[in-house]
Amino acid sequence: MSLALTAPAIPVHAVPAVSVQELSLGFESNGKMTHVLEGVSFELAQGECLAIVGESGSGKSVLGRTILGVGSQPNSEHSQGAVLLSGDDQLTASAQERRSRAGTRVAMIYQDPMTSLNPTVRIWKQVIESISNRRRLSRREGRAKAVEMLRAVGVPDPERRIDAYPHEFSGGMMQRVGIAAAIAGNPDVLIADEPTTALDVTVQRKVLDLLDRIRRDSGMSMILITHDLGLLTGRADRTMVLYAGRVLEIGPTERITTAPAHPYTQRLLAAIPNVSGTLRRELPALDGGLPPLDRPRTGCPFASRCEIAMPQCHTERPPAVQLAPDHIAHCWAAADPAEGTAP
Amino acid sequence: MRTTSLPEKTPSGMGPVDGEAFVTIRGMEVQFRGPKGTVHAVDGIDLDIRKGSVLALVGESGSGKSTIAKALVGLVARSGGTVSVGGVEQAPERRNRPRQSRAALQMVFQNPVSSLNPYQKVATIVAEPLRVAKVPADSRVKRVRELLGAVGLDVDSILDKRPGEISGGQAQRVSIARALAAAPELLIADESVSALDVSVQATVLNVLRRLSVEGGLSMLFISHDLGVVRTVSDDIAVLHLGQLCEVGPSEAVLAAPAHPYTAALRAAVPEPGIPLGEAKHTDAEPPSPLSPPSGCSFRERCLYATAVCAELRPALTELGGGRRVACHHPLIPAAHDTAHEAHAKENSA
Repeated sequence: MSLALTAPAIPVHAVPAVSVQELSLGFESNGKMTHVLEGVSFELAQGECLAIVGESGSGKSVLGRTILGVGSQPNSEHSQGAVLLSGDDQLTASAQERRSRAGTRVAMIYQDPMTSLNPTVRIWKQVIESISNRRRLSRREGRAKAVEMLRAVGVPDPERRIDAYPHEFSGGMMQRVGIAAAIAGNPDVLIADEPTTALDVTVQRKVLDLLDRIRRDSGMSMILITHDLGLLTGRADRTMVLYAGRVLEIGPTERITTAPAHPYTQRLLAAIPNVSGTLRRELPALDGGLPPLDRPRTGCPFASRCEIAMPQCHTERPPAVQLAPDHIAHCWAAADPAEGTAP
Repeated sequence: MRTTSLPEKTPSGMGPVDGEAFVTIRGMEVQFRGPKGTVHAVDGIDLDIRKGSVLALVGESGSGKSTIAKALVGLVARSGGTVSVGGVEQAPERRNRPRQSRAALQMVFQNPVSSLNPYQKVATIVAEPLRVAKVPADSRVKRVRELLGAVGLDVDSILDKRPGEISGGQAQRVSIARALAAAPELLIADESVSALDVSVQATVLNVLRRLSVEGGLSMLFISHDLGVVRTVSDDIAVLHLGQLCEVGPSEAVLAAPAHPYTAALRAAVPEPGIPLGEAKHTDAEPPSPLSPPSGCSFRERCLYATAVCAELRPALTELGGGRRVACHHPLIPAAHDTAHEAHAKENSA
């Protein structure tokens, strides 16, 4: 898309890189339905970084894989809504169409580079796989491309390193190789699923800095899936909080991490042990667990653990409360002006 | 049985007291030989754990945290040094220690579900150490209920469950209850909360802290998470490539690290709503344990390294206030330096 050089008097109607609309997914196993996602909606603008935050069982990884269009596809009878990649629906696309989009339009970085790379294949072949799957590359072209990609992600001495096998790299270097493989096809959308969870903090920082730089330089959009609310500040433009397959809150990262509106987000932040600030020997624990996922949730999925739950929280699905132009919480308490949280 | 009936408190009622060392580790060395050479996984470590206190071991992967724990328990044989627990010398290998010594050191591992037998009920799992200790069956049942209560579990609902039927946080508390069943003198928690969700992690940390403060249980707590370490520990020991960088009271060390490596770790911790400042280490890769650098093992990543750091391995020296640091250019000066110099150094850093 070309941009006018003058100030944009009329906002250009841009197609979002990703648009998820009322997505519900269910998996059937042993005659039991598991409702993994329920009515998830959000948009990812071009060049934007959206963080999807949630604990185990929140559905964050399934959501990532559904956008990527790989892995076990849910039973189509039990999937509703739409997952649009620049307007093209991933849910209704054929397996072949989804395969052709993977790598060039959307790509993924996984948590554990040790297991997501093939241990028996030299690095260079894996880095250029998304390109060589589509068009014939001479060995020379392929190797040159791999060197270029490894250099771009800061692997030292790439000419020599392209012939190495995954186990010859440290964890941090291996994750750089995973990133190189993901961005080699120049995708519009990069999904990073817990990309630094397996790494030391000193290395984590370098890998996240690299992803930031790639996104800014290339203009690709990014979805950062994580359980760690600490990572987001200064990195994700917006943050979406997922719980038991539902979006509880979405808004600018600054607001979500410093002035969250949903009780779950508030409790989650409070439970993180802090290195800065006052020492807390006793952390406010969040007892209980996820509601059963084998039936559709009535009301708010967090109601059973919520300290301020009201009767309707258990029975009626909470409304989307607009707290700021870009900040929405799905919460009855936020909807009630008496609580003083609504604007 | 002292540990979970929670009778006596430490004199101050909470937190550390200047008790004598209960666990004493001197000159511990562990080496692994492989085809590419020998790795000094633990390279001459001196550590004390005071009675009723929690000592945290921190450091990156490969720093030797878990190896120290395993050598302490005797799962890995140390090649040098001594270990004494409650004044009793411990043989390098577990099989050479008397049963009482083996029971005295109990470990809780990272992954709660895989460290419990999936076919056994919780009641059976927790009763196992009691059966080994030949506790009669009727008092066993009573004791299992006490232990599960002490770790904050709803006893009646959990007794007949199997590991697959309970949450990760519950499973980790069952692991702790099982460890406590052996009436340990020292609990070793190796990344025991790392696999847990934040909301659940808080519950387990609260349980561990209570066992220490109210139950007088001594603990070695291993974690890569400085926030977790600060919450639960009294003292902290920072490891880099099998060597100690810094030891001291957790609050003091984390508030003002003396070793550049501690400062680097501290600066890399991401916290919600707080932007990360400048990195406090160079871009150099962590060194290979097979060919560690000469002198100080951190020098290639250190912002303050000079020629002397490549020549001489720094010795642990006293800083005062119970703190020790192994650095030629510590960020806070040794006890005899003036406070003014300390301030100037911190500002320039």
